[in-house]
Amino acid sequence: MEWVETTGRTVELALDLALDQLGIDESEAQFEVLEEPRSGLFGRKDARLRARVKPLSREKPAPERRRRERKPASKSSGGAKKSSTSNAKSATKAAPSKETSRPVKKTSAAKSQSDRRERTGEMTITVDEQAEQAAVFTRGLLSAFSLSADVAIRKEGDDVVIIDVVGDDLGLLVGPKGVTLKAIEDLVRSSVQRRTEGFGARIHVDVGGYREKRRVALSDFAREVAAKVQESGDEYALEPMAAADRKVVHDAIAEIDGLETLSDGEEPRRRVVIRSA
Amino acid sequence: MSNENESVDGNRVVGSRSLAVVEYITRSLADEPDEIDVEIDERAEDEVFFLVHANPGDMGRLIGRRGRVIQAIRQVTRAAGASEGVKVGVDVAD
Repeated sequence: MEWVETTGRTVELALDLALDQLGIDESEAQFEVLEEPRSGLFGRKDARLRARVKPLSREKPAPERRRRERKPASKSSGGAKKSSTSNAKSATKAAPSKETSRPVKKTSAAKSQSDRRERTGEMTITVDEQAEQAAVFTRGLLSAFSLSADVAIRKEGDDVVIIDVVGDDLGLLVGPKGVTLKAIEDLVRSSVQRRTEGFGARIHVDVGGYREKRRVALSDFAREVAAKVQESGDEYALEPMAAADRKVVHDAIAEIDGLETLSDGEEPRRRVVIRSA
Repeated sequence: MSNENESVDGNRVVGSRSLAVVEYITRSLADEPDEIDVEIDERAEDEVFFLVHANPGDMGRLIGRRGRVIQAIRQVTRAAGASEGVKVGVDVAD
């Protein structure tokens, strides 16, 4: 899969940009910091990194245990049984913190993520198994909702799994602008990652074909805004939207000569701006 | 879905659907599902707050990077609550 290379004032900003270009969430990305940001007497040097859609991890078992050893003794009263695994997990989980003021810390966060990525080996579960787990979680969720709906697994290519929920009156699972659906998708992914340590298939959830309809509507809308930009010369900022949606807009505008898009703002308030090139 | 800590208001469980949803999600995500215990705080006829107690080792997983998981849990549980006319809040604690 293709790598994209980006730069930014901080690693975090460079990563945001890369995720945008790929139209994926951080959880779906693999990235490497190529250059740390530096500031010095003679100006600033941006962070540079490359990122791509996280590949399936069957190839290379390269157990990487350093973080586990480095982690200080457990502060929790959680009992001895869980200490090794859950400490390692919470260490990596906690690492990519939001702090933007300390590049040093961020650097180690980015590194720890790639460390975790190397550490595959023991958990090799197939895309089909991940899809099945996603479907099982989704079915359980529907029954907690007391909703009756069918859950089907659809695959696209080697590693994209779409969990299709089909039934009547499922609007409550979509929510305004799809926020509930997005949240369900996050939870489905978490439930699968729980067992795969974050590797593997790209899982999407769709309810009643909502996603596809939205994609079409969003492209249409982007083209309408594009026409306004062409007419007036003003730039337009769209409402904040998720990375996948922003990619739909970027792609739609890329087909129009004389216009360009960029993304502005921090997640989750990041938005696409359309303007004359 | 069974719940030991059923909260009954007269005959009616306030937010029973959202309770089932929050319990299901948190138990599914936790390494120690048996230690999930949902404390129910009925704040009004149509308002309920769920405090999810979990094993300390599961806190990170239930909160997620940048709070992503807990936000998703809140959103989905709120949707369940809205469908039964109840305003719902969720938080986790060890």
